[in-house]
Amino acid sequence: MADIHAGIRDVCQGEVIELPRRDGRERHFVIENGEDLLRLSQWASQHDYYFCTMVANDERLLEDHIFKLYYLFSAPDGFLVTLEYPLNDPLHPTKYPSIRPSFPSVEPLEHRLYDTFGLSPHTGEVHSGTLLHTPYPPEYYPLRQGRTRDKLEERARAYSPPTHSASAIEMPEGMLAMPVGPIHAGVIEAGCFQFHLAGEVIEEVRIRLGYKHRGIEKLFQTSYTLERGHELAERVSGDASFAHSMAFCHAVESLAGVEVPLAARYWRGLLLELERFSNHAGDIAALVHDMAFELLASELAVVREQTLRLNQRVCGHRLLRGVNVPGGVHLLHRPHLNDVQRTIETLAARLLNLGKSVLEMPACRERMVNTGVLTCNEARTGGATGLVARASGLWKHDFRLRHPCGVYAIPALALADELRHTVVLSDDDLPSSIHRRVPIYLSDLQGDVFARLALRVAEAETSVHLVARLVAALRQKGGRSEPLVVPLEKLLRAVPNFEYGIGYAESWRGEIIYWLMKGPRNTIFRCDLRDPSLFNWTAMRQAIIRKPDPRDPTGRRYLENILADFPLINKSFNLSYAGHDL
Amino acid sequence: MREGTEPISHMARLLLGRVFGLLTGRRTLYAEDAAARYGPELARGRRSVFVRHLDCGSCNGCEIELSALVNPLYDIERFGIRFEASPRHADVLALTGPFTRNLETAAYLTYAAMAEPRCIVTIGDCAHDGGIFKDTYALADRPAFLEQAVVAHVPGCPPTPEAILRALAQQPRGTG
Repeated sequence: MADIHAGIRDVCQGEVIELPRRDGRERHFVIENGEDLLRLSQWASQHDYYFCTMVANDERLLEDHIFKLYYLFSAPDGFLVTLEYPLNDPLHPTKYPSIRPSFPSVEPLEHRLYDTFGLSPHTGEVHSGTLLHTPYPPEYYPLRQGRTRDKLEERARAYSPPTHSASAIEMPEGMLAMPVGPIHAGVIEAGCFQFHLAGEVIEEVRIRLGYKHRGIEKLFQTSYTLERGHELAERVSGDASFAHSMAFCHAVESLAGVEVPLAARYWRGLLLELERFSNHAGDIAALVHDMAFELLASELAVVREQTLRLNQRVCGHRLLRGVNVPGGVHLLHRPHLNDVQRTIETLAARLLNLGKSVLEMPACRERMVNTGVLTCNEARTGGATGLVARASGLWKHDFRLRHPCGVYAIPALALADELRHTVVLSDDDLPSSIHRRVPIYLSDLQGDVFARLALRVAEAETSVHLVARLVAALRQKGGRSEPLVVPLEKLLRAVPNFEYGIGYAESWRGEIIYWLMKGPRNTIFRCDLRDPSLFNWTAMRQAIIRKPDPRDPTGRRYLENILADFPLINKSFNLSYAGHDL
Repeated sequence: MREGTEPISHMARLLLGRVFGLLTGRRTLYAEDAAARYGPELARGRRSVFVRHLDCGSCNGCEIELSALVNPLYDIERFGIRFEASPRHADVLALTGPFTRNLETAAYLTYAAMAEPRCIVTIGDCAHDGGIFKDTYALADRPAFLEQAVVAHVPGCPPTPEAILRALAQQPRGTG
């Protein structure tokens, strides 16, 4: 039984209070005892719960006068479970028990909370400087309430950071340290990698990010309201603009307790799949380019460009910005469904042909198979998410299936059927209604570069099928006069202050989660957002470093990658720096 | 006229250009085509512009459009514009993003590594004045010497590849 109530009954000794949630798919518990929290999280990790995010909130000015932590889990039975833990120890108002033993993926979040809130676990295993590097004064804690933008600006301006003389990196005999970045040799985002090499083999890689930290969470709280926050959400990570704004809007709508009009749900689903298709096409192109098959890469890049141009024709923006608004979608004109259908069919045919030839080409397989392996076990314990987790064999890990909302929750459309058959379990299993032009089997998903590429091709195909279904549904619906937006302002005003809402969307990288707490007059008291890249950066390190091959019973074979494999592995993950740094 | 909507006439034009080129021995087929599409200024300069991209905290939107310039539909190299791996080789620094504090030092070092004369083209709204990120604590002030080096700005969030292409092609060109 994976019901959280059973867990609470079994392991919790102190009092646990369940608070009602408006959305029937969410549950909320207040746990006051730290030991209980640890035991319950251990129980959850044993029962296949997925750790989504940990949100800190400064509620010292509210009735409780303390900091609070909200742990968000995705339960296998389809519920989103929030565990609220008040930091109510008067002796240690900024210390909390760490759930790292049961969910190691929480680690980057703990470092982040130390920088932004000054909260640290009892064990003290956090270091500062993941988001706020040396230019920031110590104990800056920008997300605490009352630290206004002017005060923060003033402090940062007055601070002169200590000047470090460049020191050599200490390495053991025979090893070489190779720092790369933060500015890379190409049109790429900024981040720093430090490779530890033994010969050509990468023994270890230290990934240092945070260079692009723009203080987005604070900006939501100081300069945006619930009705306008989507404008900023679109600019968190440019390649997932639509998914980010969709997750934000979902959070606002769940706060207001409304469902957007049916046609708007169709459009959102359609555009989300278009975004997925264009990004997968771009990623496949980039991977093939890195394997030096320029002709194929160019063809694929054209497919991507044509999808971006289709985006432009549909909604007036190549990255689908300005479409989502809380309450629905905003389209300048009703796009031509024929155009969408025909273009995407043509592009898909090209993409799938090219993708198939890449997957079958021996020279490509040679480069990709067994390169950058993230084993199923590592993916599960490390909290890898999205496409990366699915490519490691966790093929059911998809928020469109786990927590269907919007268009994915409409049974008549049966989009879940398409999604479930993205990976073919066996040929007998495939229903006659579903046809896969490039079938990818579960045995292909070994967590290497090949698996991630294969899955990109398969997901692009699924997206095309979903778009076809949605176009058909929209055509059937016809109804030109129906509004695409519900006005939310009054509804939001009626929501009590300091209520929170959770919104999520499965972007092409994985699920994006927004946690919004409403302030007075529709302001945002707290906005926490989690991009899938946050967890997958840790997963990428796992995939690169040298480690024993778990498939070898003797334990003598190692999985190794050389430095020249790194670009390929990096592209196969294609994580967002901006989404991580916020 | 929107591209991609009438592939046949585009192909026909390319084909004609090719035949014309073969007959007259001119080698700038693509430039002719580009002059028809983007205006004469792109075809004017026959020298190269080497561009180094510098990310100062953008959302990755501008990077998407910059990388799109390399694809065969824009094929920026036919205008002699190239993205360089090192600032040492660059005529122009294509700066994206609102200039975050954490990237301040790295940005100086990149700029300092360029050979003189150094030019900066700022790409996207937030590279101009912080744009949507203007009001955060995480932005550093761009010093005067960087501001003075800015020779052009491409507005947009993100600007279209065509706008970027136009701006880059008009920059002072190197001697190469």
